[in-house]
Amino acid sequence: MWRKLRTLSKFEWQMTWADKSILFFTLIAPTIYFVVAALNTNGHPLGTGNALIQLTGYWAYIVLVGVLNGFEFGLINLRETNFLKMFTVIAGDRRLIFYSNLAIQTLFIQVEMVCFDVVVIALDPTAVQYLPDMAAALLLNFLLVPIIAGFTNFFLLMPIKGNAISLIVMGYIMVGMLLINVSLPNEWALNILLTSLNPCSYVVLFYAAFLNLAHATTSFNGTLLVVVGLFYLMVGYYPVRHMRLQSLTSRY
Amino acid sequence: MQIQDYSLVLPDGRQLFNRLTAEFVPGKVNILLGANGVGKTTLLDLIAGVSVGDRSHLVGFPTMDHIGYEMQGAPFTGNVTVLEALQMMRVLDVPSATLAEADLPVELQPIAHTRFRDLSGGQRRLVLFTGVCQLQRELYLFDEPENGLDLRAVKRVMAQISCLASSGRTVIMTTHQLRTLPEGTARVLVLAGQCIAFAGTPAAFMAETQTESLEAAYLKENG
Repeated sequence: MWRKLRTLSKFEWQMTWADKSILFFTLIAPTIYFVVAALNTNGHPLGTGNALIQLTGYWAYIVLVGVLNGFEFGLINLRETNFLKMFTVIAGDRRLIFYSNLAIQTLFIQVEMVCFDVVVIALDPTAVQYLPDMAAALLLNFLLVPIIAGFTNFFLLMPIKGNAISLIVMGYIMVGMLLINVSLPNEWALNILLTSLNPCSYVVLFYAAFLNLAHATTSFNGTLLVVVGLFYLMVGYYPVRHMRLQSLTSRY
Repeated sequence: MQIQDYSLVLPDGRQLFNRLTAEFVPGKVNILLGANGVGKTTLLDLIAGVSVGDRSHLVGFPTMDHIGYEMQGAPFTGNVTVLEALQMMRVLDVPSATLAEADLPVELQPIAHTRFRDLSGGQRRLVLFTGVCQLQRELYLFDEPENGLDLRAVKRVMAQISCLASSGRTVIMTTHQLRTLPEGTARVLVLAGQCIAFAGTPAAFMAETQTESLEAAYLKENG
């Protein structure tokens, strides 16, 4: 199985790398936003306080968009072009396609985050003090990306076709990013709900708790993150076993 | 390998199969014939395990990892070259294998470094056919493998299918091209009226319809 996974991952890397347009949404869009912020703030795009918290918002965007565009959208596109059906038969097991795709998208997200962090340090040299946190965030991504895939795998079961997919995904990302700011210090019920349902809120709390930002490293947050993470790792992979391999729009 | 008592109603309400039963001869070529839209591809999808159909009606078929399937339409990613695609398919089942340009069939060598998206429809089918034949599987499914190919390529494809059967692999294929069937064709199954209307050797099919060619037999059977 591992040997097949390695062969398929290598092939998926070639496929993904050949279509660089995905970089626009995942890397170039937040980078442009960051550059504009740098220009508007006289070289302090992360602000003067809680700078790392600001950075986690960008990372959350990269992780979520990477998973949605590269992984979920990628698999749905493969299905709609009927390549998923062909590729699954070649691989002999649909889980191999899923895991090789996830491994490659995780790698892509890591590369994009490193590129983004380099831009951050170039535009705001004081951010060099966050290098250890940036490195830790990359390690955390190996846990985080599969959990976020579990959060968003329900897309694989939805009978969505063609252009509707990109519209729904864009709307989902926008709402998710907007909901990050709804989080309030003393509204624990609301925070639990957001962390459980909104992948962006989960990502931001995940980074904050593990990097100990804004006193977020509490046993309550730790338990919440572990329970929600385990839930999505288990339940979120149901769609992988049950998603259609046949296109909804074309037989061949 | 049998399909037993299988019924299927499509989402639009049309009944495609009604208590269909079919038996395929292992280690031989089995040919599934039928008019357009009668459900040949649906049956192959069911056998391959890529459709949502109920597989409890299948008896004796291997699991997906032991099946090679060339589908209609040549769905594949356009970003990789012919050689890269075939290398991936070769290494999947034979890890120690290597595949160089010189190992490709003669007609694929000039396009070894062409990206899949730049190939003609016929070339795409030929690449996928070659790739599927490289996989080391027990059962091979071919959905109209002659479709879009020139005469020489059709001949090579049929010869390759005969080779698979002569090495003990089971082949189930659909075709509309009855003049050059692969050697070693053991069974012809005619799908009509939501079930298998005839199953037997090509000679028995011609004898039953009192015709002298498979083409004439098929036309007579299908009215």
